Amino acid sequence: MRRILFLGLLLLAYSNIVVSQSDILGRKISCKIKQKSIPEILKEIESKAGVSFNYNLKIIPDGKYNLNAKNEELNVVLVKLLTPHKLVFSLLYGNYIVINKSEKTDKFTISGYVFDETSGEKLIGVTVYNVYDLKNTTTNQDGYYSLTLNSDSVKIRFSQYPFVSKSFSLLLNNNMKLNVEMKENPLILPAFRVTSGPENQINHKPDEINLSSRNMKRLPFLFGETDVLKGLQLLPGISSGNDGTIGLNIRGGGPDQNLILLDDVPIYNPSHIYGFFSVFNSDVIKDVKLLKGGMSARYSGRLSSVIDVRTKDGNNKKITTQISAGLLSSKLTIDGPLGKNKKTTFILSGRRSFFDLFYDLYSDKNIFKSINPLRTGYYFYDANGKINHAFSDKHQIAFGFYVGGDNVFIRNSFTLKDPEKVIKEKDAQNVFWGNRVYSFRDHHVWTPKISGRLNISYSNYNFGNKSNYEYSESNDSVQLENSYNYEFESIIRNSIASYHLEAKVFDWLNVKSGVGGIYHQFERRIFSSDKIINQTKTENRISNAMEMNAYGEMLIKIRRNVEINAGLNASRFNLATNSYNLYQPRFSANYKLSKSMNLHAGYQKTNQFLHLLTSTNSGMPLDLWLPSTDKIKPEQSKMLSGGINFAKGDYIFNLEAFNKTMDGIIEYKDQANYIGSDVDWENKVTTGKGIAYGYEFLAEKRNGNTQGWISYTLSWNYRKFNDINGGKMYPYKYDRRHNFAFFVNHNFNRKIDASLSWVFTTGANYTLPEQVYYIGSGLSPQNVIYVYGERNNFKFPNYHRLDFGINFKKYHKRYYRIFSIGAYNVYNRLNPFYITPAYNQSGDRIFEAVSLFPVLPSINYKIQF
Amino acid sequence: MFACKREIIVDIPNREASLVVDSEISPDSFIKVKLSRTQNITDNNPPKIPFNCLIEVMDKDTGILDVLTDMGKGVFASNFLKPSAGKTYLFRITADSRTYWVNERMPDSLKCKVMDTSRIIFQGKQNFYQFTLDLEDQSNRGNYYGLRLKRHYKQFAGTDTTIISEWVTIESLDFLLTENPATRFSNRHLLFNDKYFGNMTANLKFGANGLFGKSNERTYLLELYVSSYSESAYNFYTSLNEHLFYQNDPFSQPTLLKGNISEAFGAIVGSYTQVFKFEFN
Repeated sequence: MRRILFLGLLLLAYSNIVVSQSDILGRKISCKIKQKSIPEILKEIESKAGVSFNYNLKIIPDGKYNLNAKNEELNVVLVKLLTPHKLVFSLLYGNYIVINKSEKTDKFTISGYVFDETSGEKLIGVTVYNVYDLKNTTTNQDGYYSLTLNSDSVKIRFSQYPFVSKSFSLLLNNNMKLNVEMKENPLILPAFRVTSGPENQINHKPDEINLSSRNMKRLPFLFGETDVLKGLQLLPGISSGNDGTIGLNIRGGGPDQNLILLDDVPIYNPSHIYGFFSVFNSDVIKDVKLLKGGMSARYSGRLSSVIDVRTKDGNNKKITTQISAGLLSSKLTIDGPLGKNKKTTFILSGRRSFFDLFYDLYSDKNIFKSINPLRTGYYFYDANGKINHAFSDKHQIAFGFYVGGDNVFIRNSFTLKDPEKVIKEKDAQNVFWGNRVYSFRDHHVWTPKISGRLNISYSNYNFGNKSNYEYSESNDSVQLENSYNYEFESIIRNSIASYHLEAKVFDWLNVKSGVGGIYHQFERRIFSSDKIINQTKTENRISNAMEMNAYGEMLIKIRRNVEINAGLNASRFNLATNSYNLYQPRFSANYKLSKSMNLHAGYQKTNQFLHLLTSTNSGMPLDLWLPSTDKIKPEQSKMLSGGINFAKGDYIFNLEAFNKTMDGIIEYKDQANYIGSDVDWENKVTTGKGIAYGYEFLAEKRNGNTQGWISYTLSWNYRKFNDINGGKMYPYKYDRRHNFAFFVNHNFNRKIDASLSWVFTTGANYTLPEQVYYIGSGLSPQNVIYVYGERNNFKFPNYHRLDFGINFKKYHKRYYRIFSIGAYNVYNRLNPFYITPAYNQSGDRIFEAVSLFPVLPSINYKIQF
Repeated sequence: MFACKREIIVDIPNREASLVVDSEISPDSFIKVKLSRTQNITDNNPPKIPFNCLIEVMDKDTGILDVLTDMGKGVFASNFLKPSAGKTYLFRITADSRTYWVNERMPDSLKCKVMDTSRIIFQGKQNFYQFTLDLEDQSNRGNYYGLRLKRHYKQFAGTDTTIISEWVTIESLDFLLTENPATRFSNRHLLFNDKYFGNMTANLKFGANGLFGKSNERTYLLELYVSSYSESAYNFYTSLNEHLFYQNDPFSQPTLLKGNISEAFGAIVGSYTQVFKFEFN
């Protein structure tokens, strides 16, 4: 017992020493010294910080130096002064600091996982750094970090908004493992966090935006659903398509140029209800990362951006259930641990719209049902699931799935019975689309410095339509029957395998590399049968393509304030006898000008082997993904971006500029329209160029009860095709000169918070007829022919909209619930969805604007236990 | 779900008006050409007629055949000249102090015969009226054809009777009539070519639904128009059908009419049409 007491006191004494050491080095000082020798500077620091330096004059270089510090910690000031001269410092005892020549010392690696204390979810993007020398890293997408430091006493701090920072003072004399749990700070809840490093954001990347599950809850919602892709539309450099759609046009690119990944698997159509909602259920999303420039070499396959969505692994503390009901859909989510050792966790979530059920209820009461047997409806559904097992801290596997779809249908059933005959008629028409994703992931920490990840996945995107007709007529002597069926379906299947390695080669060099392959299968099925003429037609066309890529990238910390990321992605695409080999260099650099100011620059070359042929410009689902062929080559893009960011207290200001060129992008030729088939598609499209450039500004307040941001983008976006617009350059349909967004969230107290957003963008471009003439006899509308001007010759009226939402939370012992009310388009701005020539009641030609969404109030109720 | 429509003012620039030429010439009538001008889309007045118009019809070998007479309201017609099948005509049009040229070759004459008509059940449709037509393609070069069906009927409402004539939708599962994707743009003017029956006789089956059986209507005459078209006529009508098909689709690409006159709109196109009449008591 005495021994235990003695050991305890010893430990306490040691920890006190460590704490007092950290207190001394953490003292904040300010100084502005010009042209003085190092001993003179040290003397001045001694007087300001109340410490004593001990050193041999022989190791101190001659010369005069400057030192500026404004309320900075002593250790930061000493690193600034001594590191350039290869001098190191350590606290001897009391307030004595010894300065020595830097010698080769042993280095050890500290590694582990960072978890959310409440749910046990691994946290992505947590900054981990040593307070004494500011060496740092961040947790990767598996929540894993690895930091190599000199053998010494260290103070490791873990920091990520909105969690309370955690620090550990340790004597590092061996490789060690440190798993950390972080607790959410209810007073720090920014809607978006930029990747920030040690307090002064050394790692800040304006091109990269992160959105965690907690932050998503604070975004404005529509029909009780918070949508992650709609939230991203409020950020600079990102504009939306038409009202209500989730298509993102990022830095001049089209919606098909975004690589949307769900747990590393590409999603080809991320929309429900014709783009009204995204397929991402906010209950299962852990983290969303948007890269709009300076893209990592790891990503390839799309021109403009990466939207990397990670799902939760499941709560490893207890089983939790969330049930929510809104105006459009209901959701159920269950997650928790399996087994006693809690090494296995799961999450399951399902969501379904129910306005078709409402319609049925209404129809049942409809007394005219027997007269009007037509039934129309629409529904969407999706289900996510994941099971995660940790064999050890070093080896974990996960299997996940996503299944979702949309279905629009018209059904008609009619029976006529009279004494002479019985007639039965059935008619059904469907339009449907959906994604299926199955993924397996194996994360292995080979050594504290090397970890690897294996991904094997399969995805399937299909869309199609069906039409079935049955007719029968019978009487005592004759029976007539007829049926007609037509089915069209287009499917793209992807079998994907990849392996990624991440290695901390040196404390200043982090290397990532990987290889992968995607086997694409494009299938088109057409089936038709007609009983009367006894004809059945089946067409099944399949083409296969192989896409392979390998990449390597290096994250180099040249000095404490310079960080470079350089990489190369090599891709190969094979379709039949055609093959393309393309190389995509990537580069980005961060330079810390001062404690609160960073410069950033990036270059990326990207390519896209798959082309999207879309039926309309409204983002409807009648889309065909098609491979590059010998005639239609891969799309390519180059982008240069750069910017500066500045932090002041709770505020962050970003200014970015970009210049992007695109080559080989496709567009329907003039006169060519979607005619429901991919036959001969290469002759209907033309390839051309695009150019986009602009400036982005973001001012964000990210602490306190009131948080939010203002974003503004000034940009230009043009297209040029030899076969369109007479070969002349024309503005892209979403060439929005000004794009402004304002978002604010206020916490009134622990139980009530409210958010408000306002967007303003220059109207989209549109091609409208300028003149008319008449063909045939008479002046009726049937004889009117339109004469069009140049492509996209008109702009819609400016788009603006205000959304508002308020959450009322109630915490009980065993559960908590959130009641939300809100409104979309609060002041009922009728933003045009499209404009078309029409005739008024007097028969005069006019222009008519169709708007989708007036003011739309919404409510949602959610309970979690 | 929530959409609403409203009139919106769009600032359309006033572009210079262009010449519009509209004419279908056929061997059974005198040549007639209509001239007009394009106008701003928001201008709801009748189209304006170009100034100082002169239309000369020429033959490549013999020179000027006729100068068309101004009949007023932009219509110019010949008093004696009917075009001949298979012959090429050159039109020189002078309007608004500019000169335009049109070169049009008339289609070959048409040989076709209605073999049968019957009422059948077609795709569950009662009283489907079906025609069986033999169409003889006469030369090795590409020929173009069109089908139209006009219904004349009486509509009764109480003691009132209204006489109505209208083009009706033609339905068919015949491969020769439906293989061309462009046919989807109009079933009231079904256009097809001799791609699969060149220099042979095609047996075509097609018909229309809803011509009979309604208690308040009585069809008393059907007119089947079978036309042979020149290539420019086929292109013009195909693009016209497509233009009208997409005209009210706000998401489609602009579709332009394929005329045969440069720097002006419209066309002078040749056709040869045979009309079959079917009377009903």
